[in-house]
Amino acid sequence: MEIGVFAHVDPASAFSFAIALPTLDLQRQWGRCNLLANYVAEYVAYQFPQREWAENLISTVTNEFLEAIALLAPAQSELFIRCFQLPETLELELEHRVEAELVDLYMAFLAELADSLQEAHYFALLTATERPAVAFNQFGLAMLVHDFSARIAARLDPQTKRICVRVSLPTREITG
Amino acid sequence: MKYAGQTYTLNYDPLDQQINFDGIFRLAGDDEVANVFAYLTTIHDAVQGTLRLSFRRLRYINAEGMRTLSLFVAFARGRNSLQLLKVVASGVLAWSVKLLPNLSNLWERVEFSVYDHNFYESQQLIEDTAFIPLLRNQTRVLWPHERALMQHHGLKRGMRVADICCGCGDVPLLIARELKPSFVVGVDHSEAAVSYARTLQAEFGVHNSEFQRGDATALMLDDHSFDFVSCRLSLQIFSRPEQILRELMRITRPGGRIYVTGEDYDLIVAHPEEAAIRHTYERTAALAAELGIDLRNGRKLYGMLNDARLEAIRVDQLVVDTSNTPREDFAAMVEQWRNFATFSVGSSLKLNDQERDQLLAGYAAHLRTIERPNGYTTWTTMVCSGQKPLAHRAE
Repeated sequence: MEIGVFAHVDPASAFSFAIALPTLDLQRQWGRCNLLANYVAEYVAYQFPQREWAENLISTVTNEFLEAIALLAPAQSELFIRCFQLPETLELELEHRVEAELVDLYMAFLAELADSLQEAHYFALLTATERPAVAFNQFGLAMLVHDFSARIAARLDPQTKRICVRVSLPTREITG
Repeated sequence: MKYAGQTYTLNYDPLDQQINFDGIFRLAGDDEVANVFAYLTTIHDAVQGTLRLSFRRLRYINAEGMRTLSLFVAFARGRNSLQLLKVVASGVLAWSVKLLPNLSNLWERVEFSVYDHNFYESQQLIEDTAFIPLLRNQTRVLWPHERALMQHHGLKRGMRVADICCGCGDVPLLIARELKPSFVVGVDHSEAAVSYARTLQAEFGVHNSEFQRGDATALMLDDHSFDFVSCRLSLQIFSRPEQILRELMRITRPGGRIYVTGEDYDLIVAHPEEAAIRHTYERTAALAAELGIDLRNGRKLYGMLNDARLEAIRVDQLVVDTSNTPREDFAAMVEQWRNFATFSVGSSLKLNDQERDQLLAGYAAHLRTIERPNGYTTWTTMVCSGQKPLAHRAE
């Protein structure tokens, strides 16, 4: 099952890196999402002339992405983070397993983000007095689309329940 | 009244009716959200009129942080007692420009602004790439003399140095290369200047330096973290230099020194053609004043440092002239001044052809004076430094 469009990446020509880590690390120490997001941002932003802007933006996007995924993935599973730079976009990809009971809900939410996020839904998430009953960072993911012009794509392997979510961030956002 | 989380502080300043957010506001968990919300609502209930939320020194936020702010806006809207809720972002922080405007959609009394967008009148001119050659030429002329003056004013080997409003970064790099501090950071608001500085750093092969784009009135640098803090030829372009001075004070360690310099166009002396040259610099100073630039700021520096209660204040005049500086370097600098005053400032102020020609003629007279073997001219910069009192340690 696939949502949205996965841009083709030629690993030989693109700037890229990958990190694998246990989900439990992030769940035990939530501050590690922040540390990892800042690390990714600093590493990637180095090549942009508008370094502070790029770093701040990439860290914000990566942190929301990580906070969303860290809640969804089973504690004993592994997260794979990949990052590629294409001419027009920076592609951030997270591959992980999803708790079986959350798969349908999560895919439906991603489909909405990939298709068109309604303004009313965004503000409903922003102003929600309670966190969503199903614990994943819906507002954080919505922010990526609404405020950072990110595009979402996702690919689910129904057998393994492994999901690969990609956030495409336009370079024009990163260069301010 | 202050609230401190693990990675952030919220500090209420009653004089400005402003809550300053500082650090990394990535909230986790309902308890933390509830604590922050309680702090914000307590402040809210003690304020009348306008409450300001300043995010100029908040490096990051997350979705939970934004949701908490939206809950606070909903609370304020429900109470209906504030006239205005001002939300102040920083143009340096991408998140703040992207996310905070959403709060304006939640209540019509939320006013969003970016503090450093047009925060000084000449910003477009000063932060343009075209300004860099002028800075480079000034450094070529000043540095051979200022190097020793900085040491005289307390810069020593091994110190941690910050150069605020560092422009294209050549001076902090020269400090790093020649005066051997342990570390130098250069901060400037101009994207073009910081980018140039980083390129120059690679060319200089200097490793103990770093450049940041930043707002000089809300620096992303820790309190009391530098031994020597400089701000050269920059207080003159801001209408409220005391705001920058306050930040210089904050980042300087108790006992450390703050070093500022400023021009004084009344101290430009030339002979021959002195009348035409004098008139030209008076006219240039008047035009600059229309853009908020004070080219007679040098004489005011002592008073500023004194008002800031710095101790052991030292003042020097850095006089470059045609006897201590190569004439071609002096001329190259004056050509840059001519271009900036006549074309950049002139275009901004929409000077007519006659006014422009008068200025060009005046600068041509100055250039002739410089080129004449017997001609003499000076450019004087006031250099002033003071020590941050040791009593600040108690803060």
